[in-house]
Amino acid sequence: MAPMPPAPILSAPTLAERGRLIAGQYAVDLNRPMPGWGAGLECFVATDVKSGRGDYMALLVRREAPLRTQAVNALSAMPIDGILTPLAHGPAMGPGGMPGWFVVTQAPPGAPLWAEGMAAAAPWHEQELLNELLRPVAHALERLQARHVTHRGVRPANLFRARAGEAVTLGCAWAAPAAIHQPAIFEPPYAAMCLPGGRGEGSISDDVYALGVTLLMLAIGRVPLSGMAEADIIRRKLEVGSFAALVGDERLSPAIGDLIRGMLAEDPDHRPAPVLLADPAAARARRVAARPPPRSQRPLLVGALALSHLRGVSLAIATAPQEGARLLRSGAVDQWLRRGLGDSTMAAQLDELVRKRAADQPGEDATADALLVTQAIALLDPLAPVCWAGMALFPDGLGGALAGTAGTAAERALGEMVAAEGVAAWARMRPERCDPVLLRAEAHQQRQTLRARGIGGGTARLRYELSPMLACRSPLLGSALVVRLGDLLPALEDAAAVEGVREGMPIDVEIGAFMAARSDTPVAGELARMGDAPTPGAAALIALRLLVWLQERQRVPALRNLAAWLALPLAPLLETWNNRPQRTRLAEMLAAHARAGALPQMLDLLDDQAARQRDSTEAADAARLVARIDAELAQLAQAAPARAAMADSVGHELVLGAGVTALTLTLIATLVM
Amino acid sequence: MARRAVGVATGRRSWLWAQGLACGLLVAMAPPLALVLAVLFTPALLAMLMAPAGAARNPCGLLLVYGVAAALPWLALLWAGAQSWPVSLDLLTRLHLPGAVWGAQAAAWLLGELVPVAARQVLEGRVRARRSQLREARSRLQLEWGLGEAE
Repeated sequence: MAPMPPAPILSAPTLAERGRLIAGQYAVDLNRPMPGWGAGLECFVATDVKSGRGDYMALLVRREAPLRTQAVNALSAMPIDGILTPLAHGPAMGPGGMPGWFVVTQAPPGAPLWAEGMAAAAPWHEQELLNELLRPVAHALERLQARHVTHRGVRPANLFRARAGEAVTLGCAWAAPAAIHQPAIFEPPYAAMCLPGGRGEGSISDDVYALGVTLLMLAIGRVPLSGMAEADIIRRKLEVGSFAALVGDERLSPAIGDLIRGMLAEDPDHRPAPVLLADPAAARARRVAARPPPRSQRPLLVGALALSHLRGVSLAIATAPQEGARLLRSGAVDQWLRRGLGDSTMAAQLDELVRKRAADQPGEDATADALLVTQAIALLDPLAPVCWAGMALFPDGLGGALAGTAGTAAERALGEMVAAEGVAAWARMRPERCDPVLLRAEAHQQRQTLRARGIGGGTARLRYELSPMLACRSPLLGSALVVRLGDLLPALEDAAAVEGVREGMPIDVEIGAFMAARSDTPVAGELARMGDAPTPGAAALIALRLLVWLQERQRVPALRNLAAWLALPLAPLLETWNNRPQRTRLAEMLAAHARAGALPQMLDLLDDQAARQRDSTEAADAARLVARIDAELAQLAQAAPARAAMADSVGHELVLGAGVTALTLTLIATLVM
Repeated sequence: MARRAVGVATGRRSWLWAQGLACGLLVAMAPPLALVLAVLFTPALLAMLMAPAGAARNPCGLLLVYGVAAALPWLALLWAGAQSWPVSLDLLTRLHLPGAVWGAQAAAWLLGELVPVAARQVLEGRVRARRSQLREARSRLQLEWGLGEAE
C-alpha cells in the first residue's frame, strides 16, 4: 500500500475560493486520491486552508447512500481519540466535474491493516492482538457507546496504524448508512441478510461482533470463508453458529478463542460490552453459555431446501415468502414444529397467526400473506429483522433501504410494508427485544406520511424524511447536487437553462417530496393541490407560489430561467380575465417580469384576488348593461307602430290647434271691426 | 257588446237625424246663408262624404275650422246685410271669396297630411340617433368584455 502523499502548503483562500471549500475551510485535492483508504468510498487528500495543514481526508458521499446525520452531529462537536471522527461536511466539486458531498476527517496515521482484495497476511501475535487492536478499539467503542453512537464499519480495511507496535485507529464510518459496506462475514447474520442500506444503526454489540471477526482474521492471517457467496455465508452462520462457521478448524490460542467465541455470539445480549473487552481477562471470564439451536430429526422442505433448524427455516421463508406463506397457511410449519421440534407452544402461537390471517382476509391476499410471513419469522426467530417480500431490514434502516432502492420495485414493496405497518406487526411478536409502543407509533406516522395526497407524499416523501442528508434525485436537476432546501432554487435555475428541460412543471414528484420533507412549514397541502389542479396553468400557479415562498425564505436573487420556464404554462391563465385590454396589459407585464426573473411580481400579477374580483364584477356589470341595451333596442323596434300613431295624432293636433288659433284671431278681428 | 253596438248605431242615427233637422231649419229660415255656406264649405262636405269608413280621423273637421276662419269676415258682411239674396249672390260672385275659403280648406287638408308625416320623421330621427348610440355602446362593451353578438 502506497504511503499517503505529502500535503502541499496553500495560501489563504480568496472569497471565491471559499465558496468551493467544505465548510469554508477544507479544500479537496482531486488530484490526490487515496484509493482503498475510504472503506468502500472514494476519498481524497484534503487541506485546511486556514492552517495550511494537509493531513486531512475527504470522503465522497454517494448520492444514493447519504451520510449518517445523527452520528456526524454527535461526533463533530467532540472528537474521540482512536477514531477518525468527522470534522466537517459539505458540498464541493467532485471527480468528473460532478458536485459531491464530502465528509472531512483527520487523515489516518498510516495504511489500512488489510488492503481490499488482499488474500492473506502474516498473522498477529496474541499480545499484538490484545494490546494494539482489542484494547484501543474497545476503548473507542466504549466512548462511542457513551455518545449513543455505533460505528458499524469495524473491519481490517477500515483500521489504520502508522507502524507495527502502535495502537490502531478506527476509520470513518459516517459518510454512508451504517454497515452498508460491511461484507457479510463481519456482520451478524441477521444484519448481513438485510438490504445493504437497511441494516440500521444497530447496537454497539454489532461492532463487538465485527471486532471479533477482525480479531479472528488478523489472528489467522486470512479471510474466513473466502470465496463463499454472501448468501451462503449467512446460511452457514445460522446453521452452525458464527463461531463454528468462521473459525472452522482453525487453531486459536485459548485466550483469543474464548474472546472471539463470546464476541461472535448470535444473541447480541450475550456479547461482551466494550468496557469488558478493555480487560480481556474479565471478558473471558464472562462467558455466557448459549443453548445450541434445536434441530429436528425430520427436515422441513422449503422450496428445494431441506431444513432441520428454526433459524434456517426462518431464513428460507424470508427469502422465498410466497412459498413460505403457502407452507404456513397449509399447516406444514405448524406440524413440523409439533412433531419435529416438539415445540407445541410455538406451534400454537403460529396457528393463532394463521387463523387470524384466514379470518381477517379470507382468500388470496398478497399483503395479508406478507404480514403473516413477517410475523411468523419474528415468532420463529426473535433475533430476525423485519422480513417483507423477500427483503430484510431493521426498523431504523428503513431510510437507508428506501434511499438505496429508490425508483425500483423494491421501493414499492417497502412502501407496501409501510402501508401495512409491517414493522409494528413485527414488533408485536418480539416485545422483549424492542419497544413495540414506540415502533407502532413510528410505523403509524410513516404510514400517514406515505398516504399524504399528491406529489408531496408517497415513498419519495418518506425517503427524504427518513434521510435528512439524501440528495434530491429528480431528473430535472441533472447532475446538480441538492441536499439542502437552499440548494434547490439555484439548481433549478441552472437546470432551466438547459435545452429540453422546460417541459411540464419545474416541481416534479421527487422535488415535491423533497420540499415537503425538508421544509418546516407544511407545504404538502399546496403540493397536493398542485397535483389535483384542473389545468396546467393552475398547477403552474401553485408551483410559482411554492417557488416564491422558497425564494423569499432564502433571499435568492432574480431567477430568469425559472421565470421563463413558468411563463409558458402560466400564460393561459390570463385567458380567464374577462377584460380584453387588461388581458393584453397583463400579458405584457408578465413577459416583462419573466424577462427580469421577478417571480414574486409574477405571482402578485396572477394571484391578485382583488383585481380578479373587480374584473368579474365589472364583467357582470357589462353583461347586465348589454342586456339592458338589447332590451331597449327591442323595445324601440316594437314601438314603431305606436310611434307612427303618436306622430299622426300630434301632427293632427298641431294643425287643428293652428286652425283654431287662426279662427279665434279672425273672430276677434271681425268683432273689433 | 251587441247592446253597445246597437247603442252606437242608434246614436249615429240620432246624430244624423239632428244634422238633417239643423240643415232643414237653416234652409227654411235663412236660405241665402244656407246657399253661401253650402258653396263655401263644399270641400268639407265632400271630405266628409269621401272619408273611408272606419278611418282614424276625418279631415272634415280640419277643413271646417280653417274654412270658417277664412270665411268669417265674409259671413260677417252677410250677417250685416240681413242675409239677403243680393248680398249672398254678390259674395258668391266675387271669386276670391270662395277661392280663399276653398284655398284655406285645401291648405288645411294639406297640412293635415304633411304635418303628421313631418312629426313622424322627427320622432324616427330621434329614435335612429338613440339606436345608433346604443349600438355603438354595445359594440364597445362587446370588444372590451368579449360578450356575444347582438341579435
